[in-house]
Amino acid sequence: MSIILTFLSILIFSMLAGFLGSLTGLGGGTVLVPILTLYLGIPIIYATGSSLISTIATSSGSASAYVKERITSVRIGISLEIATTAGSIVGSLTVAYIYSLRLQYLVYIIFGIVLLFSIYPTLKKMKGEFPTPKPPDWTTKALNLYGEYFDPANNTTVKYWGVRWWLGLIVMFFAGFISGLLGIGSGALKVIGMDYAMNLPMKVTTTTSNFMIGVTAATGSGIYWALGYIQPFLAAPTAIGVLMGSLIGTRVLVRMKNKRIRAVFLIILGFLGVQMILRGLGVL
Amino acid sequence: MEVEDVISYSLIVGVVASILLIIIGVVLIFVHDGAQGFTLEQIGNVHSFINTSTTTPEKVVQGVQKLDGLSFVYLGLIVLIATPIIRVILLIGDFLKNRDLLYTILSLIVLINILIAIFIVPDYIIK
Repeated sequence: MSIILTFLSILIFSMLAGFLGSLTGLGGGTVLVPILTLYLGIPIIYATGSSLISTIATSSGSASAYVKERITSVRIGISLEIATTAGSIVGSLTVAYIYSLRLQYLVYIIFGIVLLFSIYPTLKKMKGEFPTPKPPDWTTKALNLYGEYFDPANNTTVKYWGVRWWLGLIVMFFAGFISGLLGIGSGALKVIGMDYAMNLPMKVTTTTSNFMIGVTAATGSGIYWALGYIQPFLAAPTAIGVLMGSLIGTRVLVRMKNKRIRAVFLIILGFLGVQMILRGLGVL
Repeated sequence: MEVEDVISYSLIVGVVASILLIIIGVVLIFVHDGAQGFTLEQIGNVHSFINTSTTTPEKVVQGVQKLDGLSFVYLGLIVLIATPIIRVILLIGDFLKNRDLLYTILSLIVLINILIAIFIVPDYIIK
């Protein structure tokens, strides 16, 4: 295949990944890495490197809007980023060690498992109910982890207090670890940390998760850069494509009410997850 | 202007600037049929040996002045990675201004983690 065709196919597949990623709320990387490795024959090291880069573009692009609308909690974001960035360093070094032992198949299997586990929080998010408020504990009081935002769908101002910051911090370390390990934003894990552990409203959770992904991915990409996991000619079309795809996805999402369509995307996720595991096991 | 607005603008400016640099770089690579002394085939191969470990910041700066495509792509990637870091620095400034000691320290820890990943780990652990 000629180089221009390769370039364009990566661009189009990246747009598709960004589109699917924003519809499911998982971000581009989770869909991008399976597509690049399974269908375009790109080595997993370069696929994860490009994915991590594209994650920064989409996170910064959409965080810009959410921060402006004051839905994102900047304080909750910063207080948890101390764990996501530390986790990312450990994750990036772990994957470097895995590659140095030539155990690439392990990365495929872990990626597949993470994909399959990502389906559950995505399903839950479709319901989008408000959490039952819980009284703040000493950790969230000390850190002032409260806030409010305007919800135009219900035409009300939602006030909230976080709980169990320490538990959120532990989950965030793992989210950062997975981000560094697999080159994804690991938004699903970040959502679990804030939704289940800290009892925050879904809108705050998803936008703050998105806000944190940029910093987490920037940390990982520092190490990825030095290790040479980023191939500029692959990172270029993926960054542009995923960003464009996610912008389109966000527009479509606003109008899309049919939950069955989203269920189809979840089936795609499951399909990709199983394929990654099979590839890791040497079946595919 | 509140810090949220400043952050919002800096994020969008960073993303747009980096995407523009990357696009310019890709166009230049195709126009020059290669970059940084490599052929288009070497650069475009999905198994290419050319990656971020085969360049240096000096090469990128020199290349950009010579309208070298690969250097423009690298510069775009650097701007993209720098965007969230600048966001952290902006927040440190804002917490300092509001005399919020706890959050100044928390955001400093985040910045230190990033700087460790970019400068300390590559120099002392990987090499």
